[in-house]
Amino acid sequence: MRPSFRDGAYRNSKICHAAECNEAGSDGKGVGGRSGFKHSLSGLTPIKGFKELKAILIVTDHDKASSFSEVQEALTVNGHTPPGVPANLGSVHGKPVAVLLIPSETENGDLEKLCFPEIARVWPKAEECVSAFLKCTGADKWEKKSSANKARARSATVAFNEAEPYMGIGNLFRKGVLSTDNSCFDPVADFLRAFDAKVGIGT
Amino acid sequence: MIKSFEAHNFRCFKKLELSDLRRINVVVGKNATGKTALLELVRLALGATPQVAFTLNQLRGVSFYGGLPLSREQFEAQWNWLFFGFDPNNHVAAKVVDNNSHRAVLRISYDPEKAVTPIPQAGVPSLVTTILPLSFDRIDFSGNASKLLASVHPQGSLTFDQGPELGLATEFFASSWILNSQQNAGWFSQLSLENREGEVVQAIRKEFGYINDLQVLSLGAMQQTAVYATVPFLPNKLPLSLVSAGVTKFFSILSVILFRSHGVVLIDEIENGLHYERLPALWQIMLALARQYDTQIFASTHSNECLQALLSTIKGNESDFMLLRAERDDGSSSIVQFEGREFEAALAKHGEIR
Repeated sequence: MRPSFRDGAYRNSKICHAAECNEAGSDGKGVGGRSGFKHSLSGLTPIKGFKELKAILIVTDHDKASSFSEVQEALTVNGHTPPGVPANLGSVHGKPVAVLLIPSETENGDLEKLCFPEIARVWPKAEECVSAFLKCTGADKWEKKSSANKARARSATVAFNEAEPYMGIGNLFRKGVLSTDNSCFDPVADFLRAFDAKVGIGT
Repeated sequence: MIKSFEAHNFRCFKKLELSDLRRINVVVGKNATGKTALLELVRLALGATPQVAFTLNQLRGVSFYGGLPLSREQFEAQWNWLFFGFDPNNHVAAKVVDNNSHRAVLRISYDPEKAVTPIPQAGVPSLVTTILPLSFDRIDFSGNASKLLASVHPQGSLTFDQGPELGLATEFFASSWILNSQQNAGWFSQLSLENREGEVVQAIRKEFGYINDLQVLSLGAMQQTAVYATVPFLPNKLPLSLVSAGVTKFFSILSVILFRSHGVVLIDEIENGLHYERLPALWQIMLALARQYDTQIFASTHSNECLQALLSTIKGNESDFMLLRAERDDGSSSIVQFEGREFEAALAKHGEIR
């Protein structure tokens, strides 16, 4: 049977957390992207509960061909051991670490690109409407694809969510407006299940 | 400066080892994990006299005096709080190494060879008991060995041998710090004598714009000495303690950093009494003065606000800082160290480090 955990709660929490880190929050508690990540790594050990951690998962948008190598470099310059490939384990402060590329190791994009099929499932007119909007603004021709993807996803969540148009993607999953029960999340689910198994979480 | 520190059997610490200590060492941790005990231990290891130990107990409210003559139980009740597990068979031991690799050693234990039997008071029925003095066996940073005793007179009252500290002067601000005008005046007078008071005055004027000047005055029939502040909207100078207890604390900390040049200043719950807006400046001025006067600081805090206030000072000066977190496990406390770079990065992440 194909590994899947469409039981909602587990995947939901992981996707929500990834979305939270990606959004970096108005309180500034995100890691500040891959550039801020190098500095952020050295601040892990003093944080309460670090020694009880079983493993570390670094989640990053695969928005450039160099996304993974940038993470590897950040780990190396801080004296850590990066994984050779995303799904393998490296070591950070003695803890096993892996790197999850969003939407996947083989596809470039970001969290918004990963989530858009689910956004389109919930609001079927999203694709058509947003495409027209982005064409109107010129965002469809933006060179920076990650910006275009963000504009696409967020335009949809704002314009179709009458009840709470300001709600971010993470909270849309948390509140059940969006669901991880979509096959578009299967590569992430497969990665997370394999990661948990490697580091002994849930065993 | 203390570079490394090792101790055994003091209060909640069965064993403690600290290394690579820095100019400013910030102590955090939950209640009852040993933050204050750590500061006390440093004070005791460097002060190393019966009076220092007695004062530390008094500050904790656990010193009491029984009737005369003291029984052995009453005498030992003054001191057993010092020992891990209240067991004096585990003597207290401390070893301090400074940044020039000089060592000082202290050992505290009851000395049966110096036993004293107080004379029973006439007409007062009492058991005759023999008291074992508490011995402070010391080697200072110059290698000189000495022994000081906390004992009893034949009449049964407490007596303490006097002696110098071991070579690094210390000052301890307890969390229950009570404003001592005489002490402040003494420090400030000495600084004034040496023409060193200007930096303290300048800092106070900058942070508290309603204070124009500070000076020591002796007034009244009892010639009470205190630091007085010149406040422009008042006709007379005002004792600084009447301006504000918080301002007085700020002043005291800065004064003692200069006064204890080449020494160690220990401050428990540094944020007490200070408005949050003053905290960034306090850290900045403390680091500048501590560097200039080669003073080392250990400061404990419960306050995340106080820690975040440190961020602007620690950035770029990470090598001057160490985070010491007290933790308690299986009945014994320990200290986990994090160097300045990790400390700064954790603060920048707003991580919970206390």
